[in-house]
Amino acid sequence: MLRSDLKTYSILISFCIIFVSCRDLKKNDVIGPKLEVSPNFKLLEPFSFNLSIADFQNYDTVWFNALFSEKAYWKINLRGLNSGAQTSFSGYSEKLNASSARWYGKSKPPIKFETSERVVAELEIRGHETKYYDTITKITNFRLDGAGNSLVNDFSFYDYGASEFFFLINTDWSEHPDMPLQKISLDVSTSAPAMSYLGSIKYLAKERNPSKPYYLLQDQNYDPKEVYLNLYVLGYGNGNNYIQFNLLEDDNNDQKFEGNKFDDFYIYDLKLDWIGWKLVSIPYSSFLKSGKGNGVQNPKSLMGVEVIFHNKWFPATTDHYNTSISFIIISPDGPLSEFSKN
Amino acid sequence: MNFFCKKHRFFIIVHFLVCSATIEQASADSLSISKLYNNISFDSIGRVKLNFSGVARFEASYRNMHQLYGGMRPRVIFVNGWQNTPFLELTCRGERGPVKFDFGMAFMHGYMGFDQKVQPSYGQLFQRMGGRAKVPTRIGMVELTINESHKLSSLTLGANIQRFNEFYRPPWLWYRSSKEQFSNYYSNISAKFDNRYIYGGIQGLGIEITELPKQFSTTLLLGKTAGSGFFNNTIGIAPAIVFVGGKVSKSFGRHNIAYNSSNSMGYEENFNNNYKSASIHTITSEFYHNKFTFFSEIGAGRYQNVLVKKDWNPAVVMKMNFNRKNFLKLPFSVQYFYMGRNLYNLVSEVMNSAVYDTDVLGLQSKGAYDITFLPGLVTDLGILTNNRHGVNTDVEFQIRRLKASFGLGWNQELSNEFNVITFEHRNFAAIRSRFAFYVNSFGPYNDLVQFFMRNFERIKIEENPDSISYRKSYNTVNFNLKYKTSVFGRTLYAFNFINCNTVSDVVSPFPIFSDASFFRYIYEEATITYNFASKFHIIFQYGYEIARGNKRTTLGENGNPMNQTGVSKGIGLDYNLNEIASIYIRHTWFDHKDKSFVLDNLKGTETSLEFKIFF
Amino acid sequence: MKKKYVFILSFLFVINYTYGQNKNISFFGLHRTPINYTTLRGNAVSGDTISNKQGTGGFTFIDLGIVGKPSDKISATAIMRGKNEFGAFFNTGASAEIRQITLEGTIADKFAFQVGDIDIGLTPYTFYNNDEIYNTYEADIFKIRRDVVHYENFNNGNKWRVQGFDASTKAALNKKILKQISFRGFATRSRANNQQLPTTTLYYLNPDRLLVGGKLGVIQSKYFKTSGNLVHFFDITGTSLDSSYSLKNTVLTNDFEVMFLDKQIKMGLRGEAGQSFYRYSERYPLREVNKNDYFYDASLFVKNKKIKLEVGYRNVGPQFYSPSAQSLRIINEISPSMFPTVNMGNNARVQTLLDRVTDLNIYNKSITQRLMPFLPQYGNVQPYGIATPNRSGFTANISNTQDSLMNFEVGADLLSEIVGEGSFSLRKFTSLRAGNQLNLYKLINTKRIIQLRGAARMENTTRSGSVPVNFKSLLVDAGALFEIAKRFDFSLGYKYLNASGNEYLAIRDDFNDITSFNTFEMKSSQGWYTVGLQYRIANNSIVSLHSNLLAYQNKQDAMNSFNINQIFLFYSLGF
Repeated sequence: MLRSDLKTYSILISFCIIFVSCRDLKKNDVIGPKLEVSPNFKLLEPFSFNLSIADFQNYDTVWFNALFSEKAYWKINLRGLNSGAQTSFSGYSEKLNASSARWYGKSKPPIKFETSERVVAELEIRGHETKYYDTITKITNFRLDGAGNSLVNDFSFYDYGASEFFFLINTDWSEHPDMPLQKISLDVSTSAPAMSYLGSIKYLAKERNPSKPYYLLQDQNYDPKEVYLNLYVLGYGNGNNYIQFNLLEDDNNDQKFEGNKFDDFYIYDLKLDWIGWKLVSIPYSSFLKSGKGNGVQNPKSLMGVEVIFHNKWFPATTDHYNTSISFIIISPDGPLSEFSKN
Repeated sequence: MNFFCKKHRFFIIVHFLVCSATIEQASADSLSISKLYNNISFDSIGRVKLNFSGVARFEASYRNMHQLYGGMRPRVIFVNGWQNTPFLELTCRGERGPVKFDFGMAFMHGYMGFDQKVQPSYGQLFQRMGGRAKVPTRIGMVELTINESHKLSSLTLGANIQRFNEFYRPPWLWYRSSKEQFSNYYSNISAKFDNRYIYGGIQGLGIEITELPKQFSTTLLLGKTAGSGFFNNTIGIAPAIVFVGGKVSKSFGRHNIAYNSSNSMGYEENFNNNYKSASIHTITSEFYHNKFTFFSEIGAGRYQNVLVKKDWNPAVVMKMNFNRKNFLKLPFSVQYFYMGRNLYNLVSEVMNSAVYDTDVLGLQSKGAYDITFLPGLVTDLGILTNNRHGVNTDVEFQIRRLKASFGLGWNQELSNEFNVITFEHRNFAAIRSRFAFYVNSFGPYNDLVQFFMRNFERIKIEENPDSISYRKSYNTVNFNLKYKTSVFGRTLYAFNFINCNTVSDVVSPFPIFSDASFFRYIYEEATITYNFASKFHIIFQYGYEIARGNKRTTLGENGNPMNQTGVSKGIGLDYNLNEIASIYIRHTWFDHKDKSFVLDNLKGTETSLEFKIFF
Repeated sequence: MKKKYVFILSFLFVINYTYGQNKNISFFGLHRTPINYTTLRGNAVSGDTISNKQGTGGFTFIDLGIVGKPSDKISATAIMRGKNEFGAFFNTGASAEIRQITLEGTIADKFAFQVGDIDIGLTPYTFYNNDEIYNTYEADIFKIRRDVVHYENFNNGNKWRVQGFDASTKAALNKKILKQISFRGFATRSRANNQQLPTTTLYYLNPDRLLVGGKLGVIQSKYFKTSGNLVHFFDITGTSLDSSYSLKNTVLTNDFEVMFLDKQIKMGLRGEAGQSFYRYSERYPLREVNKNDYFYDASLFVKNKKIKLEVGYRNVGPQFYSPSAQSLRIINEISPSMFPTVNMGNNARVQTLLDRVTDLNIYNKSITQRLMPFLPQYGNVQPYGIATPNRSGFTANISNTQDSLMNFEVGADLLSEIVGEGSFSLRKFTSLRAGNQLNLYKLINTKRIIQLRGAARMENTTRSGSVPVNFKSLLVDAGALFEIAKRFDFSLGYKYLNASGNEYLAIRDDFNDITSFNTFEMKSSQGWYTVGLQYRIANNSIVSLHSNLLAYQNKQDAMNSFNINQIFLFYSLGF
């Protein structure tokens, strides 16, 4: 009985052996992208900074250039020769350019890069022994004196609840407008002629009063002529397009924006006719009235900022237009001052 | 021998007492719930007796469309059909001394799965809880209800009544076997509406006092009714409405007269003063004679909101049912009704075809979901709607095993309010109703109203309203045949139902089946069921539907009016496992086309499996 | 006359019998109340004014089960939960929900079925809910916490909780040729597209996903049995408007057991072999991937009344995909719900041993087609259980077979990759584990429970070459349980996890293709100390009080080290 079972089963096992020979991958295959480069890896274009001197106060942005013979995992380590400050970038690509990694002058805490310091960059390629170097001189830091002002951050698309906003509590602040976290890129074309973002400034930061959410300027009656909307805008010089800013009020204090019924909103159109980053400050009193509220500009009830990028294109073109905005800040006592000290 | 001699009577009494004692013992010992009740401070006299029952129902349907409306998914799997179809219902009935009570709970299970990419599972919902308690008191029998259904009168509190197709099983069907279901359907001669589903649900409190002196009884209801939204919801089918209603009734032997009142009131939204209210007050009477019975309901109702305040309009319904003892030797009935335009009651049998519950603040979101308004509705025999008056007749006869009924009805608008006709698609209606849920602008032409297990379509009359001097006239014919026979010793039933409707601008006692009518509709339904084995039934159904407009209605892409044809063929198998559990399988092929409106094209199949247990 | 007499009596009896139907309803239930007070301290939150650092939480619930049994053949069970989260007044935190609704019974005395919320399990390669970590011999005091979460997450053994139906039947045959044949089939819905109108993205994108399968088993005799298992996980094209993606994953296996000896010493060969067929396609952009692969697993076992030894070899292909066996019980890429951030809210807090035993919000109930990310420190050798793809090698296990003075287990896995991941070099995996439970009360002949437990699991992953890997982890468990008075226990528990080294973690897309690797470097240790008192009120009822300390040390960055202190009070009553 037992032997006949074994006999039967040995036939089954043989069948299984035939059956299990269906495997797509072979022994020397590799799954996933290769972590190591081939022995023939080399740099086709040398590794270098895009600039030799970085003036971040002048909105300089630093990136790296290189071209590899194949896709590779790379890591760039920056080290200040005086301060010893460090930072690093890593990625996986076949080349290095402006979209791979950008440096805005920051370092990993606690040590900072100093003004007028030489900084060396070291490029490591995973699986490749040779390392590559270049240096740059950093002469200035980007600074923004934002004490007492309110930054509208973390925009979301028509979702009041998801946006956040907080006070700038540290005057020693060096975030470049191009930093991805602060920046919103707006892109329009003939098929998508407008793009808008809405940021709620309904709830104040926890440092202020965690138990009671209230509006930004609710504490006192600010003069609309002194209340400014400030932001950095990256112009591209065409001048055909404009950004519309809507400042929304909650006139009936029901924690909702109802522009068609109870609330005002105020509009300002900013024409884009310059190139590069520029700090733009617009007094609230320059905004034009719309909506069905009480008809009076009331900074106390400001509850949101809406940004709409319009495309005024010539009928025949299918071009894309894009811009970026960064650091949207409401300042109650005049326009924002930039570079108060360096 | 006299059966009731002393010895036998004694034996029977002893037997009954012994059995009763046994049952009471079983009740107390086997239920652990009695342990819970030990902690409750009841009166020490007597014990609580409890009896549980319930229904568990699993239904899965698979629909596969070969031709469909844009935006529809080609394949859909439903489990437990509609969103509010319970998977498990439990009822507990109890007695404590003279007090009788019951309460029920219903649970839904949507089989949504646990896939977190899409949504967390919310497939199990606690759906309903309600109960009633009956207490005999000195003044009478007092019944308290919470979240239960009630009926006051047809015009004050009830539910839209409708004819259900016996092939497509509605979720609450309470027959324990197919034999019972079809035999009962055969027993009702005419194509009557299902009187079991005429109650209106109340979420709230009800007090009913019967057996008052002098044969009085009274009912008082307070709560919210179906479709009235939630307390915090400002976007619903109807605004936040509270219902107050009641009835005072006096009987004279078998006869009865009652005063009924229904009042709905509320506000459009929670923060403004845009109120709405609707009231109806009626007097009903029932009179029984050995040759006939007479029912009437006479009253008045009105509707108002912050913009308009409508006058009181009369409401009259009178019906005489004659039995065989009349000169025709056949049972027949005659009904007359007059429903004023301002009668607006979403919780009655009166369907709303005249009052557009306009949202005074113009919120668009309500519009698409408002299924309470069916302008120019084509009604079936016996169905009431506002802004109409008319007459319905019905006669029944039987030739051996063939039962037949023939009904003829006519009604007319009191005023021409809308240039729209709304008619019901009877062909594969249950399947159609699941294409989308509770919307009034479904379909490629945004003219379909998706109801609960029903489907309506709107057709517009393209005439300048200012030039209209007629009032639309509606004619209906129903013809119903039911036959029972035996094949190879097993029961076979054959049912046939024909419904015809026309809408025209002239008054006619009979339907006008020509282009002179704005709208013509014919529906033919043939069903055969055969009990081929003791526990098995096989069912076939064939449905055929024609709907036509005329040149005065909206024309389609080919310049012609509506020209619809629909066919459905169904086959089903019922397996009654035992006296409490059954399995039902249904498969339907359906096909619907409109030669003039080319996008209105449907073709597909639906298969469903239902498993039902009673306990 | 006699006929009438019989008729009337029968009629009376029927009425009385019908009225007595209520004896077919029974009840059961569970009432639980866990309460905790927890603080977070350490460098990671030093000076932190944004991250939460303390909290009190808890809830009470009662699960009431009703079983209706109208006949011997059918029953319906509903478990309802009333829950009240602490922290709000006047019942504002109260909720009611349904935990489970199930119908079960038999049809024609031949088919057994279940419909509704059901638990299904087949083999470890087909339908299996793997344990989250090696915990067989962890201290009793940890088991209490783990049981709470397992109950909430519907983890009944190694089965998955699904929604659908399951039917089975078996037939005894001619005993000379075939002793018994059995069949089981199930169909469940893993995801429903219940969106009704084309106004939501979900309506367009997500088709209904079903998981169906079955098992055909044959018992030839006491010497040989085998069964075929099938699991098919698939999307129904057309149930979403765009059918933007479509999955079909079939796993077909055969498992067997052959006994060579069946006397005082039993010896035999058992195993399973099978194939998976994976097809996944997306429309935007258009792409379809087909991957087929196989596995085989065979082991020789010898056992007697006291001890069992099993040695085996397995080979699981790199593209063997079996979602219902490879889905993880814990979602590794999310932060714990308790103190989710540190470092001024800038960093997500890592999952610790305490979180993985107590935090329900990181537990997973769904079966996913993509291999889920895992944390190497908690299991790097076989993160997806024995069905982990791309593994081959030897395994061995020795354990005792019946409860005795000392229960123990020692096991080893010596595995390696079959094909390289991102490199031509192959990883080698070594896993050693041992656990034991010493029932001291048997030694000193007392009725009081005195029990010691200990376990250790050591894992080592290495890879040579130009992208080397060297990752080690050591998990140690120790526990003691003393019944210091009748039904009154004092228990201690200790868990320690040390992990160091580097790894490359695969990032997969929906096609299960590896798109990139994350460099993972870790040098950390965490110790979880707990001491508790427990009173066993009755068989299913306890009240216990624990004090816990978890110390997490990040040796690479001391600023990310922290401690969690927790007082935990727990009451559970079953009836």
